[in-house]
Amino acid sequence: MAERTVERDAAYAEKLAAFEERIARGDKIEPGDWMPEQYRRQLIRMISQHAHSEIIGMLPEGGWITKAPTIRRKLVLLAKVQDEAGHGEYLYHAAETLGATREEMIRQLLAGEAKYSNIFNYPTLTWADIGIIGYFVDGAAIMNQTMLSRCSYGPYARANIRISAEESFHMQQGKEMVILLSQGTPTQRSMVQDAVNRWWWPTLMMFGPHDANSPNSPALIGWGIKTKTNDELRQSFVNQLIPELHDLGLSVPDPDLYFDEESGNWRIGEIDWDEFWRVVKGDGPCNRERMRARQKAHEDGRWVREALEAYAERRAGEGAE
Amino acid sequence: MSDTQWPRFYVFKQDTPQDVHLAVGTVHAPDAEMALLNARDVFVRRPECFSLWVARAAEVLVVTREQGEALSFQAAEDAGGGQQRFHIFLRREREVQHSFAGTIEAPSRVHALQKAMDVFSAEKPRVWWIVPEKAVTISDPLETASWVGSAKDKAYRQPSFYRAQTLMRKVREERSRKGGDS
Repeated sequence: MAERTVERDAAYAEKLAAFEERIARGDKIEPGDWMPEQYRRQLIRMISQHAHSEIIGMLPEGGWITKAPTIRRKLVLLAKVQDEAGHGEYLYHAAETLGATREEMIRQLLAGEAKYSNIFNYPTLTWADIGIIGYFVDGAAIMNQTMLSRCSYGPYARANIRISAEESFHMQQGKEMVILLSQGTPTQRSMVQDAVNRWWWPTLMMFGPHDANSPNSPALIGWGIKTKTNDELRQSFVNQLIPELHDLGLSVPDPDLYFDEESGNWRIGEIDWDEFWRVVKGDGPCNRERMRARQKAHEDGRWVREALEAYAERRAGEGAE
Repeated sequence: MSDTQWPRFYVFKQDTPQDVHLAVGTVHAPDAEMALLNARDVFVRRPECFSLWVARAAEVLVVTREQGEALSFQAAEDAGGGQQRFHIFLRREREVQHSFAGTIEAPSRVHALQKAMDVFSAEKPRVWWIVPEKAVTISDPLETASWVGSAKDKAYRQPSFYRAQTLMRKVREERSRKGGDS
């Protein structure tokens, strides 16, 4: 018995070494390749959460489609939200290549068992919030997705490449809006400053807990799933946004913010992780509203699914091609 | 059928007549007709699509190089003497996408794989896709042209439509002109 275990361990060690060597070479892991169970599980978790985030992310903006101030802005917002649905589809597909089923992922989301990005549990209170979501939230997402485009798992890398190509207009339209509002009337300026004040910290929290508190990160980096740490990405984002916001005459709600000459980094104050965990655990401003909206959409769409199924069965019965 | 786990269809997209079809992902649909429409919604929001194919995933053989080598040593049973056509997609070592390589006649998928491994050996593929032609539904070229026409009109889906860069530059110039401080 013990001998067989030793043989199994040796065989496993060999497979693991070959797998890690493949990643170190920069080769992609594809469906059908051997992979450690932890790699598969971590990826299913990450990818399905990413997919759910895209779908739930349609809700805070979707509510403003009927309230856009001009036809141009309405068309742009429609196109953006449509893209997000498509991105969710790319990602569900990537998770399915690892053995997750669409049925189980959707069930988990609708039952409130699945996690999705916290940022979408915050409300969009004004039109300026729509500009800030594009500028901040999509800006942060683009950094993350650009990194994930080089991920070791082929289907996830390819999904992120496709997403990144489409996402840049999301950020540009938001940034354009924020620039215009910040240089506009006093009402517009104060509206966009108020949106900055509400979205700045939740956006920084999008990058996840500090590296010291991220137990999954070392394995994810070792296996080429992530190539940058949470804090590294967060720092890049801050360094990019702060000078732009200052040039626009906007401030961030951080009295401890300062520029560290030595490192060339903008240093931020303490993140309120209590708020982060409260919202992650379901106690944010919009968690219940988001879930109800998604459940309602699923229920309201039931007749469409039933009709499609009935049509397909009838055609199959008629022997149609 | 449950209402969240319809059959999967692989989607293959040819961007222009000068390109080959690439595997871009999957859609779920109750039948091929709906799969094409879903594929249009998911994959053709930008004006790069000359042809779209969907293929029932259950009928497609997807294997890595190692799996392919193992399969090809098995005695592939004769599938009854009839020759069928199989579209071969492959992913070369340093590439990221799976692209169309050619069409092979063979009595079964495994036979087609064996043949493909021979015919395309110089490409050294990491992944093989064997797609029976009869599993494929192709988009009507006239319809595809209308989807692309509609997507072209929507210039606001391109980042170049937005003036953020120009506006930011103007704001910065204005600030330095006024000798503004941060």
